[in-house]
Amino acid sequence: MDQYQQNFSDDAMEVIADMEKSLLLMETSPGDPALIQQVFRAMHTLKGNSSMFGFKVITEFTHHLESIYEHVRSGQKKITKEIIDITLDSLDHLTYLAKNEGELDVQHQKTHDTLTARVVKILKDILAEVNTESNTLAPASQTAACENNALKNYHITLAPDKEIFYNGTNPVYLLEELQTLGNCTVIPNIEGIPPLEDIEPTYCYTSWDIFLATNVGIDTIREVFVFVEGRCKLEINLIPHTQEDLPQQNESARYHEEIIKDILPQVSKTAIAEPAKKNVISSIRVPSERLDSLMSLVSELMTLQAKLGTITDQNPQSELLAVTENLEKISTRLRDNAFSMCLVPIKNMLTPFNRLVRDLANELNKEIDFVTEGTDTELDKNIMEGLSDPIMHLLRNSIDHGIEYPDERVKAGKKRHGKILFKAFCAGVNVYIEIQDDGKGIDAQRIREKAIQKGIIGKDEVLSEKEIFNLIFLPGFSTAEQVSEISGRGVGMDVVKRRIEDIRGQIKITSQLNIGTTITIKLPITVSIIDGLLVKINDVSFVIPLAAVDRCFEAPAVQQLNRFNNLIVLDGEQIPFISLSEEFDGKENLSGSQEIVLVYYDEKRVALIVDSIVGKFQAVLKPLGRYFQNMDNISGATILGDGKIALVLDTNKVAEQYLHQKRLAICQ
Amino acid sequence: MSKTVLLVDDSDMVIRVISFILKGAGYTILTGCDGDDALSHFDGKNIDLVITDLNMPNKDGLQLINEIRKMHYYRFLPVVLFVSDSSMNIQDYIKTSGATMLLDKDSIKEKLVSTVKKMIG
Repeated sequence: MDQYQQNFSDDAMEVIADMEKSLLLMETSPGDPALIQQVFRAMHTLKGNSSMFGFKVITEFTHHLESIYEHVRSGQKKITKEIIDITLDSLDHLTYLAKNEGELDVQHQKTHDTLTARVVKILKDILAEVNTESNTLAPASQTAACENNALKNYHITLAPDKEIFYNGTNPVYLLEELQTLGNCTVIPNIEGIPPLEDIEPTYCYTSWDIFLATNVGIDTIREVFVFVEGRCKLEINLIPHTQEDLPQQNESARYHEEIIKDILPQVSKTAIAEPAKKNVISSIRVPSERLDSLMSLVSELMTLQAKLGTITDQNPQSELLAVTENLEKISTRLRDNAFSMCLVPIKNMLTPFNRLVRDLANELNKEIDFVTEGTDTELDKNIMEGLSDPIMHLLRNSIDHGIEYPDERVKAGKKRHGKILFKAFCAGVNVYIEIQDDGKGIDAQRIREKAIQKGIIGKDEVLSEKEIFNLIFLPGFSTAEQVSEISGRGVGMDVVKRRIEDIRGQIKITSQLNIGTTITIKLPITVSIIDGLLVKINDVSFVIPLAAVDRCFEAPAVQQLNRFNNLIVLDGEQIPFISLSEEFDGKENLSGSQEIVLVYYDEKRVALIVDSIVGKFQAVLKPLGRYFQNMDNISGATILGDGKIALVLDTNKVAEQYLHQKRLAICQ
Repeated sequence: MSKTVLLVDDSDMVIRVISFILKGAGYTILTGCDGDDALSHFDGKNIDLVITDLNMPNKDGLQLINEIRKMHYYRFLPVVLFVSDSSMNIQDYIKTSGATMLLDKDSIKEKLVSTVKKMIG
């Protein structure tokens, strides 16, 4: 059974997490019976499971909590903030207990004792309130038989109620159990059986006289019948002296018993089967490692598929072409299906955020409503895992620095309650997450001053408001005048930004003074496979993510390009262009024609000049080794059909780096 | 032929643990994660015993027992009900719930197999 202990703590964590979610919901709608029921059930499960594994500490602790909710459930007690508070605290403690298999160190022993005391106090108050006597259910006093080792004879009469079978009870098993206690003689009494035409086969008409010679007490015998008590007439009498006539009855008794044994099973099995409705399993649980391995297999399949495509191109036989085409169709669908399996609705990650806002607002004496929108939006689970910490940090910032104290808010003519809106939505191939607060906003002027003071920007540099806000994400920039305990934990916004970029996301900040701040995170739906545009630069293959591409052009003759400030006029708009061969190789490819790939860079567009465009390509993203970690403008590598490697460009980074260098050059 | 036990509990782990124990004792195990799910097994299959938890989503243990007792073919099926409130009045509870036997989750380790043996051999 020990191998299941790990399961227990996993299971317990899950139950606790569920409970936490329900509790937080309960706070907004305290009267909801479904929520109370959920919490109660979770509590119950936790208690049952822990006691099954012998974690006494957990069992006892949960028992008290469960009792409170028992009263709440039955409507004897209204749910209060106090109860929710203590339950949440208790859940934290239970998490610790479950992780450490119920062992307590000194510090946690203290927590444990205080919590238990608090819970018991609430429980007592409730009990006093509803004035119930919970302890009247002690077992009825039974005649305690003096236990000695001498054999005693008992005479037991058992007359089950007619309907005894309806509970699934089989009296023969009771008799068998009696026989294990000692030398036993069973005499069936079949006088109650009516004439054949009146027999109702589902009724029990037989009663039994049992003579039992045993050394156990009367209580032990009673225990055998504990589950039929109340549904039969039962008499247990101690026979003062040995009866002489017992052995003679033995034979006939056995005979009758045999008959009854034969009859009974038939009674319960001769009935006709009823057609039962079939239930379809609508969802199954799969461990996430299996999904991960499915995904990596699908990726391998895509690579292989590309290889097959290349071979087919080299040997264009009609049969092979047809097979390749079909395989491509199917593997694309397989890929899409496998992807959708990894998608998880965002609401699954919300509980800790709810909790954070609640706890932190309490701690800082701020009043904050946390509103969520679009929580059904789906996101790859791997992305979601990487997203949790950064969002936590952003929320902490909003609560600590964004939302003002209630009094200040009233003075500024705002509602007392601050509001943080967590909004998720899907647009194109991206998922957006917005965190909006209606707090005091960010003062662009102050950021500018600070950046100048820290030497991040020059004194006379002209920056747009957006560029100023982006300064926040630079390393070594922290806006809070004093680093407070809550949001300044040594991790700045630069770490947030890096984390988001690790999952190929982008982060953007907009803010209006005294109205609020909005942080937008843009994320790809999946991480591992992207549609890309395969291009050649100096005979090396690169992949540009298709999501970033606007259009492709034949490049005008090199002479027509404005080489002085690298601008090209397209659709009457001046667009900066970057010659990738120059950028990567340092020399320009002057031979032959060139092509232009127009890519989005934030709201602007940037033209990338490449030697030639090969075509569309499904790129399975592989991370580069750690020696290449510092190459920001490459987000990964992919394997081409011919086995060669192509690097995947991060066009945003390419443009950013280029424009940054250009700006530096101008400044100098 | 080994006897078949239908095990109903909303905790995946309980199912696994008890299945493990009972399979070790030579029983065939069917499982259900709640009352509704369990009822899907009552389609004419041979079931000798039902072991069910009390508190479950969709249909709880009591509702499940009720439905079983209504099914002609299965109405005499013995049912073990898990309870964890030992202060309960067993006599009344057995009468009202329709269960054949109550079992405390605390005592699963010691009593489970012997109880099942006692009830269906």
